[in-house]
Formats: sequence, structure tokens, C-alpha cells
Amino acid sequence: MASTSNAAATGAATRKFGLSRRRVSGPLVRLKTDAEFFDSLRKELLGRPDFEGKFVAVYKRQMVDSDPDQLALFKRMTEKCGDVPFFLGRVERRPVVKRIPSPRISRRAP
Amino acid sequence: MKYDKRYDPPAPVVRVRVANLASPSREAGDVAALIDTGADMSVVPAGLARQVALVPKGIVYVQGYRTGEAEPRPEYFVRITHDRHAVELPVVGDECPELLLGRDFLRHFTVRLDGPAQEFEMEPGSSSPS
Repeated sequence: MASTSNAAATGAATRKFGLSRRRVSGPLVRLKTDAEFFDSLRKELLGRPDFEGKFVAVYKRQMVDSDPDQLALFKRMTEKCGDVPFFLGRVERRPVVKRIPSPRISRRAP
Repeated sequence: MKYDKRYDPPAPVVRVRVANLASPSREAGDVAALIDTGADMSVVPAGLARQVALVPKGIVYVQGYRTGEAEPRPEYFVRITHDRHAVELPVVGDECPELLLGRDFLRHFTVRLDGPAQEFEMEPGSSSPS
């Protein structure tokens, strides 16, 4: 039951992976440009074994770094650019959907 | 520790410190955090994200209790400290009322819940998760 529901959610997220086709608000607006750039790169990177499964850092519409370890990439990017909006995305065929089945989670993004 | 009776039914709640991992001096102390073993990731309420000036670094697709479809949420990086044991991790931002400690944080601890006694224990795990 849980896997069926998660598969449906993953499918929905996959169909809507492109932020340009999504309603975004609040903090996500600050990431939108770099997230869209990542989305445009994703197909190309998926065909490259040196990138598939890795995290990629995008800053000012440029891919600047990558690493299999998300936390290590975050620290390196913060050292390079400071605490500014940059986008870290994983090169994957379907975005992983995180299940947080708490009634305390809101309906809308902050 | 006793369950927090402000919840109905009472719930395991711990006090933690939350710091902006990019700027650790931006820290909130004595934050109430609900232990949520059903959550894949920990969740930071928007007010706390503003308090420690978190800047989003990614997008997490979240399937919640109310929404069948996955929705995008900002991803932040924080250091959460409980009883001198610090964990650095990505978390989800949401308009939820309190900090939720999901299994990404809890995997670093041994948690024992005693429902009948309404007590729990939480201590650093003896081995690090891979």
C-alpha cells in the first residue's frame, strides 16, 4: 500500500519536475533560476556515468561542482560562494519523494 | 524523560539547538522538537528558518498526510544538537508548528519509548550509521 502510494507520488513529481511548470512561492523563488537551469541539464547529465546519481551544484546558471556526498558539496560551495542561494540537485531519473505523513505538515509551501 | 502532556495523546519531545550550517553563529537554543519516526526527513518550521537565516539550497518533494501528490519544499542545511551530540544534515522547510525530528536525525540515536509509563530515553547511538 505504502509503495503504491509512493510510486504514485513519485510519478506526479516526475511529471512536474520542471520548476518552470510549477507554482513556486516563498524561499523557492530564490532558487528558481538555478533550479530551472539544473532541470535543463538533467537529461544530458543522466547519459553520463560520471554524473548519474551525483549531486551537482548550480550557481548563477552555471554548473560549478559535483560530488556524490551532498553535505561535502554543500560545505565546499559555502566556502567558495558564501551563504547565498545556490542549487544542489541530484542527477536522477525520478526525484525521490520524501514521506512525511504528519498532519502537522502544511498544505502549502512556506 | 517524560512525554509532553501538551500533546493529546502525550508525545516524546526533546529540547535541541538548531544552527545554520553555513553560518553556525546563527543558532537558536532550547527549541522543542517532536520525535517523528514516521518522517523520512526532519522538518524545520518557517519561523525557525527565518530566525537562524537559513537560505534554501535545494528542493525536496514531500508527500504529506493531507496531500496525495508530492509537493516541493525548500531544502536547508542545519546542525541540530541534542545533549552535546550534534548532527549535520539537510532538512525540509515547512509552515508546520514545530520542529519534527525524522529518521534522518534519529538514526544517530537510540530511542526507547515507554508508552504505558509515558516516558522515553534518547541517547547517542553506540555506532555511527553508514
